[in-house]
Amino acid sequence: MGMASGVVSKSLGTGGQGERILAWSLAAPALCCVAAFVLAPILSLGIYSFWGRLPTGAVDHVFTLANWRELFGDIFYATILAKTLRLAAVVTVICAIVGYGPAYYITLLPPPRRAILVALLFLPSWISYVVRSMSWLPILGKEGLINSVLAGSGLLAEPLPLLYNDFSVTVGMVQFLLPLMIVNIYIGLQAVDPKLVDAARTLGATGLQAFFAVTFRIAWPGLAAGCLLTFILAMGAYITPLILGGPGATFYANLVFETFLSHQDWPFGATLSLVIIFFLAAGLTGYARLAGLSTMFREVRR
Amino acid sequence: MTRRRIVRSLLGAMTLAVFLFMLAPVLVVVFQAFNDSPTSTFPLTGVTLRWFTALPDDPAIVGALRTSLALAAWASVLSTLIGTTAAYALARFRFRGRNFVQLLLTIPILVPHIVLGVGLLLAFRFVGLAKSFPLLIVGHIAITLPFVVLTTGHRLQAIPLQIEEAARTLGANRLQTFKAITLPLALPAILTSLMFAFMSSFDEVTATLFWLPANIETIPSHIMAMLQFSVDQKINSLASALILGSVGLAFVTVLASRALSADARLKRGPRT
Repeated sequence: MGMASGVVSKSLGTGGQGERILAWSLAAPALCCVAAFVLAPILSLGIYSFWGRLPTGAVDHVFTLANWRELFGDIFYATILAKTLRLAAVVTVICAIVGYGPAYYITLLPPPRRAILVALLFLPSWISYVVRSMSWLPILGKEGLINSVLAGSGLLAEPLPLLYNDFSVTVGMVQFLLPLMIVNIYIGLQAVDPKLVDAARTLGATGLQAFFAVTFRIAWPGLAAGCLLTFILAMGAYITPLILGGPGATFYANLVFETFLSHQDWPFGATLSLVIIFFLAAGLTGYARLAGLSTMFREVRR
Repeated sequence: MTRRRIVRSLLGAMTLAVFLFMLAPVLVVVFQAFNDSPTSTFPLTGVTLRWFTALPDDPAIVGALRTSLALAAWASVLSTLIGTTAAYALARFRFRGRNFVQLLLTIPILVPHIVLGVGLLLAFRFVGLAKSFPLLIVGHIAITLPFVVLTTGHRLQAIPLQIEEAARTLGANRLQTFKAITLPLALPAILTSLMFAFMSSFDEVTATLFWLPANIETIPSHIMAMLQFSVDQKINSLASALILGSVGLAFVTVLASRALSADARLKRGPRT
């Protein structure tokens, strides 16, 4: 902050017990919300995953490893997890490749136009996720926009199978997660001082060399944060496969959904959900080691 | 120089394509909502408004709309109140454990909604509470809170402390300074948080499907249910209304937060 050192700021509460109590009591409601509605729920997932299930379907409050044994013992779950991880990886890579250019382009623009594009970047997140997903139905369907245009131009005898398969799920997921990826790459790029790039150019680097030696290297935490978020959210998405997937489009999150709401098997559902938490924790730990958690959640400047 | 210009126009074209990919598909939904044919056709067989005028006649949609509006209003107002006070504490106090609190309040953004959905359901069951409307509100607060803390926090960090110090030096106490200086300066961010929280709550479906009591539907859950049966233009008209509403709200929010910003107020001159 731009304060002269040694100046004790009056508005920045630092000392006093009264100040400390005030600060904690202001933060207390939010902390209680997170503790009760985020942390306690994750904890209860842990507890339920070690509980059994009675033949009646009710939860048996007795310690058991049965859920974990079933998860690791049955190849069915490993197959679906592998399929989901592959989808999440493909979606992440596509978003990173497709998203980097636009994020970089926005940083090149003069302020007024940049502000407009940044605002447009947030526009998709104002629009309902369900609506964005279902908007592919009239586009990719058998009599949809793409097939109508192709058939009308006489290029196709039979419509392309674009909908209700892994292709449409991938398209839907990329559309859903791309804005998030671009925002994160953009946040990373904001950390790059243009003077450094100019210095590299002055020292004889080509534009491409300067980009990789300076821009990309300084901005990588943004890309990494974007990849982490995209991957985890793709892993946890079941709405997109539900709307755009085929009859056999069971991804990991759909499995969680069915285990809970169709089979009502809460202990096993909790076990399945913990696997997502495990991937999130592993990704976050790696990110914290390499880039530091403080590089995440930085402000988007216009 | 010319090579640089080529790279730039290539990047520009790519950016345009990507923005079209993110935003244009919803236009197809709006387009089809005016289609005379009950199923999607290209081109339209005729133009009609009947799918829109049919919306208010559907009691299920009206009921779901009521639920969604009430839910989003409760969740966004509470979340903004709780989140803004916490953001103020984080931005204006230096206390031990501050970084930890900051992390704790923002990290839920990363947790997939399905995990939040499942977890909260089990936690409530754990203490013997059934699915209910208050459970939905509480869940939506958990989901929207980190956005409020982040958005308002960033804005509070950007306000120069000197302004508040000047007020304190002139004899204002903390509360007076907050009301006269901090709050007006942070108002655009608080408004944006409130509106964004409202829209996120209104649109949330991934966790909500786990929390919905048997006889309650929200607009997104109702659309999901409609999609199970068939895709006709009624869904498209409902979706179009939703698109119009959310884009409109986003637009109004940007304009309002601009009008509320200090620069704009300075240009209008001092209050008399």
